[in-house]
This record gives sequence, C-alpha cells and structure tokens, in this order.
Amino acid sequence: MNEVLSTAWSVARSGWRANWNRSFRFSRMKVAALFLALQVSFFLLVARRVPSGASYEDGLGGLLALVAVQMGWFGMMNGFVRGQAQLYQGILVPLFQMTPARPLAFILGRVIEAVPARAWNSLLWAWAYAGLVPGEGRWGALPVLALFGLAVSLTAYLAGLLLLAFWSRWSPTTFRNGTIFFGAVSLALVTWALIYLAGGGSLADLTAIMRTYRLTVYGAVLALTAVPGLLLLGALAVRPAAVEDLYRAGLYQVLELNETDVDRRVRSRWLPLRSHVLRAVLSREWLELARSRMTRVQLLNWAAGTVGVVFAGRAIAGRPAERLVQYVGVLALFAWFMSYGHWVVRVFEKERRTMLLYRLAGVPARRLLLAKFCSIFAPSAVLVGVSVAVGALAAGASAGEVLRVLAWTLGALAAGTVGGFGAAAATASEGEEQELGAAAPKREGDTAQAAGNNAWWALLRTFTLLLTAGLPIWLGAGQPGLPFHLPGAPLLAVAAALPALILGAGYWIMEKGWAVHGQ
Amino acid sequence: MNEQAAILLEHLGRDFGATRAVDDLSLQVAPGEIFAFLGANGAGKTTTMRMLVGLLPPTRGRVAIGGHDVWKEPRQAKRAIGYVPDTPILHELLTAREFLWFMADLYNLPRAEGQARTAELLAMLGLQDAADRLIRDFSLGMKRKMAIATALLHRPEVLLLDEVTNGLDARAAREVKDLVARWAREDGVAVLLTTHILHIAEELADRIGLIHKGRLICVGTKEELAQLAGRPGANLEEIFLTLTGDAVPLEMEGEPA
Repeated sequence: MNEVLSTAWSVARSGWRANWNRSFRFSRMKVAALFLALQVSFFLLVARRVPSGASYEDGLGGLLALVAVQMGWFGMMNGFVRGQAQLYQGILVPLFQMTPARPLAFILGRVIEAVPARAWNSLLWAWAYAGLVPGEGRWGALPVLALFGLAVSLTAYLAGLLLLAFWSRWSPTTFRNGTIFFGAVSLALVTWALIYLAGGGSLADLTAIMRTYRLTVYGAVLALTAVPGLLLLGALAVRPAAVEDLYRAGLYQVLELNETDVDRRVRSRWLPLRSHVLRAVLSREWLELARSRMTRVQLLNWAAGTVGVVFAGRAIAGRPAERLVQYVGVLALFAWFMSYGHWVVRVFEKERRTMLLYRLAGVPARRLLLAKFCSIFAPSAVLVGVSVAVGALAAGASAGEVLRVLAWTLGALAAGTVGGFGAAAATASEGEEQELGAAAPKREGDTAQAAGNNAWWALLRTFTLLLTAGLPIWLGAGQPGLPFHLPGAPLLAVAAALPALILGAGYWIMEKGWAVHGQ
Repeated sequence: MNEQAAILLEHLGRDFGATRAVDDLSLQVAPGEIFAFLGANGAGKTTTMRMLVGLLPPTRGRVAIGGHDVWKEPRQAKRAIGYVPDTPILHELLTAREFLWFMADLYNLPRAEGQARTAELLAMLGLQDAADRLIRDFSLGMKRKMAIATALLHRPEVLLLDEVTNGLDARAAREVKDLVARWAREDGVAVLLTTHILHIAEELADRIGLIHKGRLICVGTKEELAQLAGRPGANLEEIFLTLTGDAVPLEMEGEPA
C-alpha cells in the first residue's frame, strides 16, 4: 500500500507542478496571478452585493442547502469531466500503461490532485455567501460553509469518477457524450440563474426556498453524490482490485473505440464560388465544422441555452419590446457565446501553422479576413436567429417585434464578430512567430512564455467581443441598469464605429506583421 | 519456443475493425541480441510494438517479456521493459529533471537512486544544461533523448526502440547507435528496434525481420535474407525491395513465417 500511496502522491505532485510551471514559474506574465486576481475580484463583487439576511439560523440553514446543491453538482461534473480528460485521455494514461505502476495509484493521485482546487473553490463561494448571515455571525459561518462545501464537493467528485468508471465499462460509445450532458445541464442552470436574478430574484429569496425544502435537497444530494462517492471511497480502501479491474476494462474499451472509430459521414464538398480565396476558406472551414465532433457536442449546449431562451420568452410575455431584447436577445447571444464564441476568439489562434499556408500562397490579409468573417458569421447568425425566433414566439411577440429583436440581436452579433475579429487579427502573429521557430532550438521558457502571452491575448479578444456585442444589445434593450437615459443616436454611432475601428487597427497590425515576416 | 527468451511473440494478431493490422506474428529475441524489425509505412511495426509494451491489447496470440505475459502479469513484465516510442510520450509541462524523477517514482525506484540515475542519464545524453527547462521548449532531438532517458531509467532487460534515431542529428544518432550496441553486448539487454533507415538495421542488427502488410514474411541475418531473395551480396535496400515487392510469406529454416 505504501508503494501505491507514494506513487499516487507523485502523480498529484506532477499535476500541481505542471500547473505551477505553466502558469507561474515559466510564465513571465504570471497568468496564475491574473487568474487569481480575477477570481478574487469576482467573488469580492458578489460578496459586496449579497444582502444581509434576517437571522443567523435562517441565513446559514438556507445557505448550507444551497451550497450542497451547488457543490454537489459542480463537484460531480468536475469529477466526470476532469476524470475523463485525465484518466482516459491524458498524457499520463500511456505512461501508466507502459510502467508497472498500479491503476489504483493513478486514480488516487488524480483525486488528491483535485483537493486544493476544490478547497479554494469552496472557500471563495463560502466567502461570497457568508455575507447573507447577519452581523458578526458571518465570520463563524464562513469556515462552516467552506468545510461543508469542500466535503460535499469531494464526495461528489468521487461520485463523478464512479459514474465515469461504470459508464466507460458499460457503454463506451456513449461515454464520450457524458460531458455534453453535464455541459448542457450546467448551461441551463446558469441561464436559469440569470433569468432568476434579472427578474428581481435574490439570494435571500433563494436560500429561503432552500431552507423550506432542505430535507428534500439533502436527500437528493445524499443519494446522488454522497452515497456513490463514499461507496467509491470504501471500495478503494477495501476492494481496490475491483476498482482497478473496472477502470482497466473501461479504459481498454474506450481506447479500442478510439482506434477503430473513424467518422466518414461527411463527404468532400467544395463550394461553387467565383472568388478563389472565399471558396477555399469557406469550403475548408465548413468541412472542418461538419467533421468536428466538438461542433456537434456544442450544438447540444446551444440547444440547452435556447431552451433557456424559450423560458425567458414565456416569462416576459406581454412586456414591452425592450424587455424582449433584454431577455431573449441577450440570452440568445449568451447561448451562442458559450457554445461557439470561440469561433471568433480563436479564429487565427486555432490555425497555428496553417496560417503560413495563406502567406505562402500570397493571400492578401483583407481577403482572408473577409472570408473568415463570412465563414463564422453565417452559421452564427443562423444559430442566434433561431434562438431569438423561438424565444420571441414563446413570448407571443408580433411579427414586427420579432423583426425588431432579430435586428438588434443580429446587429450585436455582427458588431461583436467584427470587434472580435479586429482583436484576433491584431494578435494573429503572436502564435505564428512561435510556430515559425518551431523547429529551431528554443531559449529557456520560450514556449511557456508564449503560452502565457496567449492567455492574455485570448482574454483581450474575449473582452473585445463582449464589449462590442454588449454595447448595441444594451442600447436595444433600452439601456437597462442606468438611472438616467443617455442620448441613443450618438451611442449607436459609437456602437457601430467601435468594432469598425478595432477591425481597422487589427487589419493594419496584421498586414504590417505579414509584411515584416515576408521580408 | 523458449519461455525464457527475453522477448517472445506467439501467433500475435491485431485487428482494427475489419482491417487486419498484424497477423499471426511469432518471434523470439534472446538476451543480448539486437533484432531489427523492418517494414514499409503502415506495415504493422508500431502496432506490434504497442502490443509488446502493453499499450494495445492483442486480438489474438500472446506476448511475454522475460517469461512474463505482458497482459496477464503486467507489473512483472513492464519492470523489464524500456520503450522509446516513435513519438515521444512526455509530460511537457514538467522540466526534464522533474519528469525523470516522476518516472522514477512510477517505476518505484528509491528516491536517492531515482535522483542519481536522473543526473547520470541527463549527463550521458548531453541534457544536463537543459535539466531545468520545460520539456515543451525542447527541440525534437532533445525530446527523443528524453524518451531514451526515460526508457533507461530503471535499467531494463529489454529495450523496444521505435524509430529511435528519428529527429537526431548525425552525431547524436551515432552516439545512440553505439549505446544500443553496448547495452546489448556488455549488459545483455535484448533490443527490438524498428526502423525505416535500412543502414541502421544493417549496422546494428544480429537478425532482421521483414514485416509486410501485417505479416512477418521472413527472419534471418542479412546474408540469409539475401539468399532468400535470390540476390547474394545485395545490400539491404535491394533485399528489402525484392522481398516486399509482391510478398508472400517465405519460410526460413527454424524460424516462424
């Protein structure tokens, strides 16, 4: 057993060390510090906005039930999704297969590795929620909530692993779709929370409901996460060989499937367009989308988000048209962003080395930008349009109102895509320089440094997309959240000009970069 | 068949759906012997290697290393194997030193021995200056050297080398070839190597096996293969092209087809 524990500890340590190396030690921009600062800022904001509850008992009782649900669901999802990535796909899988190390050590190591992140997460949420407990009682509530959250989170994490082990063993074909299930339900929950909060709901109301139904809540959390989680823990302690056999059998079934599963459903099609660049880029991009399993997975996430849009539409039936934009339009954009926002944010980053092909072929930057924009905007507009249409119909909107909300939402999508493209074009050369030198010996920390930079650029692109899409949709929704009304026309001009300016700047930087590299 | 052969393959087969990647492959390699496995791209060399090392379960047949079945007694068998895959399998977010310490733990080496062996191998492969750099920053040749260091960490009795000189410069390739010869001759390590660079096989191997469309079509010394091809005195390239032209399994005395 000592051998297993020491190997498990080594596995956990390698995971922590890899994270430390990537995001701090070899990252000149210290991505970890940025991430932690963003996390703390977010939770500080939440903690400051949480209103104080009526009494210690009421506040804490409701919060414990809320924490049980939240940590139970996200812990289980984390166990399943991370477990799938680490125990069935990650780099350590072949290393473990090649060495005499026991699978038990591998599984235990991954569980130990997850503990600090789970603890940090529980602490942040406890800090944010403790404000609901009145007076000095909040400082006593904080460790109670944090420790309770951690306990629920860890047992739920184990329950996620148990689900993973059985699912891979009994149905390896559907096993990979488990992440879709968790992603879709989580997106639906987040959408519901947004609707709830935007509709005037508060954390105090929610905890009051949770307190009322706490026995049902605890029963469900106990049955779905605690019992299976503790069952796995017990099996690991008493019958580890049975767990190892179950894991090994599932793993080989999944690996076998990966070896033989070749998707040949999408045949080669090339679009009949006159423009060579447009034809090449659109054909390639859309074939890639059609062949990507991830596209299909994300389609389900988008569908879950669209169901949220329908609920939002029903909730605001009969309200003014601005409300339709505020709820249906915003949530339709949110569903698209959560599922396919990366199309814009990573438009050039995902190309990596293949960006060189455009340059080698002498494709002008403006034509490449136009072709890429068409390839992304067209399917995005269809998805957002469908979400808006069903949401507006659910709200019982008139044809005129449907057209109005469609116009605002698609306008915001276009502005966001143009703005996001500008930021992407401006940073397109960053990853490319790294690829140009891929074959050459590198200086210490070069790639990790580039990875750190990439994280910053990705953040910049995401922020630009959200800003340029958010401004017009906010205007269309009647400037909610402001106690006064700003003149609409100049703001609309800003909303239209800003993405165009960013795109212009991005294009200029991109072309300059191409010219420099081309010398 | 000798159960105590360092490497033993019996009627090994592997299917991928309807495709038969490896078919009825039998072979044994003695301690201290260097055996080269030659074949065109997609012939089944890497699939065989992956079955040998425990990465891919065979559809039929068995594999034993040092008398231990790789799939029934995996821990005993894997303690004896050092494997250099065609694409290095490395935890690239660790430094070279950290990765080797980690692998030493997986092979259950005592801490002090793991650290000493790490330092020794880094020095032997000329990686000591890069010991505290992230593997992700390494060139392909350096990654290949890291894979070699990983394979040697626990002093294996059997080395499985898949295209081991790929990505190495001429000097590094020479050094690796010398090391392989030394491990076999002086330490009695059994070496099974696959390569598409025929002169490596010609230079190093005691015996050569040709695999074609998943079947081992012949095994022997270079001279025996030349005779079999009906081209005495020909170089290995000519022999290879002749034997794999429209190959049907060819019988060699005392060797499985």
